[in-house]
Amino acid sequence: MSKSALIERSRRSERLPSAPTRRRSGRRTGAFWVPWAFLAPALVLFLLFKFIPMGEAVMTSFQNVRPFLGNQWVGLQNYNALLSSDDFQGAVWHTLLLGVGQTVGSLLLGFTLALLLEGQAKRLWFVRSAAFLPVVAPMAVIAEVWRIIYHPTGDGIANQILSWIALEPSQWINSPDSSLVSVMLVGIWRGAPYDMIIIVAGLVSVDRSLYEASALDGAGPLRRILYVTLPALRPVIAILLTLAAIRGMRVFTEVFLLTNGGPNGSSEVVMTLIYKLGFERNQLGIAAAGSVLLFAATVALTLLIQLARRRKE
Amino acid sequence: MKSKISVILSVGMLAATALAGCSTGSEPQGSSVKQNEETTQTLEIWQRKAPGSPSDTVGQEVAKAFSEATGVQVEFSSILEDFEIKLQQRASQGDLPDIVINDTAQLGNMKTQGLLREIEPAAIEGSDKIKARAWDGAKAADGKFYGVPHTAQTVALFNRSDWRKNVGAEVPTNWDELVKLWEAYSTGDPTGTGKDVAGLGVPGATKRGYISWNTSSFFWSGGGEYFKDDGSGKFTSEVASEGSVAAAQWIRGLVCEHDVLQPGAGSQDTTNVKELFQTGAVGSYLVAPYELASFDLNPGRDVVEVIAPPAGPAGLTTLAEGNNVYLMAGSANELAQEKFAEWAVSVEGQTVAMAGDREGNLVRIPVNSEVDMSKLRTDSRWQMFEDLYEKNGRYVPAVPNWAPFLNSSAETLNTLISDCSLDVADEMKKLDGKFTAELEAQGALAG
Amino acid sequence: MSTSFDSALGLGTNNKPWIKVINYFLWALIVIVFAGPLVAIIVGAFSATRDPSQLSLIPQNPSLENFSTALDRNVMLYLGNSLIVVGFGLLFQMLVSVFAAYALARKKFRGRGIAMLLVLATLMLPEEILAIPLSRVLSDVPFIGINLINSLAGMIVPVIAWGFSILVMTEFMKEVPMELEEAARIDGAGELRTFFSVILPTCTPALGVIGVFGFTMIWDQYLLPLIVASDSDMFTLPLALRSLRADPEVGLGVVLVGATLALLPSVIAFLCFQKSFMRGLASGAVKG
Repeated sequence: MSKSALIERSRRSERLPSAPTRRRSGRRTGAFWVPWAFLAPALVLFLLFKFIPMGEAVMTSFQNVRPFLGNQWVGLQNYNALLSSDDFQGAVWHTLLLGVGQTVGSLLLGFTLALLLEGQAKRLWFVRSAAFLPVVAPMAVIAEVWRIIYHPTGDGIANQILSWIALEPSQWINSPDSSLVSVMLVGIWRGAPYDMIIIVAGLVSVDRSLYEASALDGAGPLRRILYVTLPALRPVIAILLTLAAIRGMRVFTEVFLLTNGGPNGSSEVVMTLIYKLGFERNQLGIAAAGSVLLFAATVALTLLIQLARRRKE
Repeated sequence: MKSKISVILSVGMLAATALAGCSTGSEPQGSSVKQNEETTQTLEIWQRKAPGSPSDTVGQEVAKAFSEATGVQVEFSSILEDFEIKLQQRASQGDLPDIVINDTAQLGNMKTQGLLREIEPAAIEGSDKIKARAWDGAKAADGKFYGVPHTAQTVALFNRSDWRKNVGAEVPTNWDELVKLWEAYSTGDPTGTGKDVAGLGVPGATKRGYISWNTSSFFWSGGGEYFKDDGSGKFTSEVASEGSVAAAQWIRGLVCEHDVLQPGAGSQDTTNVKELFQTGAVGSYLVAPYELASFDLNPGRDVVEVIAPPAGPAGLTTLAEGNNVYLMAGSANELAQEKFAEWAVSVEGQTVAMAGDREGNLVRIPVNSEVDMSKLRTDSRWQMFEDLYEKNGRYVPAVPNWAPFLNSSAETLNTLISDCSLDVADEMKKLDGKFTAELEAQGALAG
Repeated sequence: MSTSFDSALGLGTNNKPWIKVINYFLWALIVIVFAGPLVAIIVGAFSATRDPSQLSLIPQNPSLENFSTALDRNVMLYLGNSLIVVGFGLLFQMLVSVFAAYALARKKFRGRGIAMLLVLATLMLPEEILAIPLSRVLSDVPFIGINLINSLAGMIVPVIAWGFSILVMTEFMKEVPMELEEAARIDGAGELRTFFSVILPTCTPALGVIGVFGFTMIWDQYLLPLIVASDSDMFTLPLALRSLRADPEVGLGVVLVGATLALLPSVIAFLCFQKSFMRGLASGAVKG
């Protein structure tokens, strides 16, 4: 069956009164305070343990922080120190590259995994659990393992794999040219199972009758995925993109443990820079300023994604 | 109605966060704290060791012995990872522990934050018995003392004697012979099994400044200097001087010319290198005596020799480190603090903390010159470390905060060994610029 | 029909043999790529010595020596603390998230957009910078005035509200058809009844997701226990793991024991929560 017919079919089924409709927005039933009552526990906890500390942190971004002697007000000095740092631009660029690369890679690989591992069979449970391990392993241990995999000689595991596809051994995390890509691969390795789980949950929720209908129309698996599965997964993909944007800006631990931003700043990201200029030098005010900047950037990015989503709907 | 709720909520949130922020204007603490009655004074002591470790055990013994000797009750805690965060937490509450046993290199940092009480060596009983060199580790940029030395150590070369014999070399007496020895390890099949091994193991990561910390001995011995001290507590950067560039060149040459370092050095830390030495993947490792016990087990006492590193072009200087007993500011138990400091440097205190031949000693090389190491430890190699310390030991420069300099120099060295095409003089010049800027930021720039 | 409708790819039980072969091959590849390195860790925990430049899947000199060293270091106590924190923390976290998501997904009200943004914002705040102010809040909680420092409660309460859970739950709840809710209302069900008997059961896959990720997040918490625990008896496993790693007196083998112990509960949690993913498929309530 043709592509347009399939689309028409799924649209039609949405309009039929007997078929379930996708709710666009809720309806106003009950007292106005009901939603707030449901939200209250979360909001109160957020206020106490996130927003109040954040307020303090924002204040300290304008101060020279001396925990014992008392803070001194320095205005925008901390922000200046960060923005005028030579490494700042590079760090921003690397953060973007790493973020986009990891997001796209994890999403593609995660989607593939989810497709392959969807189903109820017991052996699939086992494979899914095995694939999930990277998500639950402590980052410190993952870093150690990958450092071994990335051993720069010809005997290193990664280099051996390269030799199967007739490539020269790489220095991986030890060279400025390949350090960012090496970190990205680890991020994808960890991110794909993460995305896979959420996508599997989404796949489970896809209306099976639509698959039946498309098969009746003679559509093969590829068509099915493109015109039934993907549209149904839109909300899931939206979550994943939002989360990926947030995670991407805040990437820190894997870079810190594998390369610490090196060599020569080739894998420096914003958070490692904040760590170096702020925490390592005991300049908590600078660290706070960096965090505020990062927060603002993340908010902006997320708003963009939400707007794009609104537009599409 | 509809929009009011959300407006109220948002304003409420913002107000709460703003109010919270306003409360962080704390007043300076610890100006003059009311003292407890002498007989009721107690001490809270922190040391920078892993909880539950043998060092923790020895620490508890130290606390107990002190309490028995003086009648002062002690609460002794071992804290390791993110020690700094916990300390800052307490500092922000204005409630520091009474005593902190910590690195000598942390002195400047803690002093700048106002956390330390100044020490008058003359006022500490038994301070005259403390080795003069040890006091260097307790001195700040202003020439005054802010800690009481507790333990000292320096580094020596742990070397595979079996490999050396297999390649037919003698104990190296100068740097040329040293490098040749390492080259022989890397290329001459010292294990006899054809296994690929490296000459020298160096933790080359920038994390915690490891690479710089681990090669300072070579840097100094090779003619390098970090700063010139103008005598009044102000400094100028010396890392772009001829001697410094030559020393950095030599260190870089270990990778780029002679290829004697372990592969992947630039991303490895001390734990990695220790494992490499223990599993026979590197032939030499420059490290302090606390590893004697582990290396006696693996690779084994019979194949490891501990030698003083041969002198370089500028003689032999080895990195001296140690711990000080810091008396923290704002304590209500100042008399008890002083009692502990005096006891800790006494022969009794040092002996308990040395813990004989057991694991987890808090005092490696005693700072009290009256303590006879040979009576307390059966391993004669400790004496070698002590001699090395007294003759060639050198502490890190007494700038207000050494950490940023350690980290920048680590970045530069790591960059140099990761990219052999870079020019050493250029990179050291860049480092010089960073050093000068940092000195200025710390208010310690001369001229 | 030779294809099934159970999954997007339509791979059922009666496939052509070559499809089956490719399937098995791919599954084996996935297991090796994703689980292989971590199995090596677990294996390392059981080895007395190991070659640090190789990952082996077979223990060399198998021994329980590392485990006994770890036990000497109080690992069981830290494990227990972690279990308590996660047990209570996850339970409350799921409750709070589900309530909040209900409002955000199913109710239209002014300020919903802002509330959503506030929830998202909590995910963007870098942890490290919040550490010291958070410790101040914990030592003297505003409006309530209690001190949560050095108590397991202090590690539980702040994690109960987590933006990720609320976000995921909200998205999944949005997809529940209005008809179900209306049907319940017509039957005379109030808010809570509707919530518990209609909305919630149809979201079991999402519950599975937030259960697993919530478990892992709380289990892996590092900074929060660090600032809450003032004496080492209160440590959780990740905290102790970090200390072990940095401790020069401990070999890598013992660290791997800690890592194994830190790993296994999350895997077990995943196995448990997988059931709810699959139950969602079987129940078919949504599929009319």
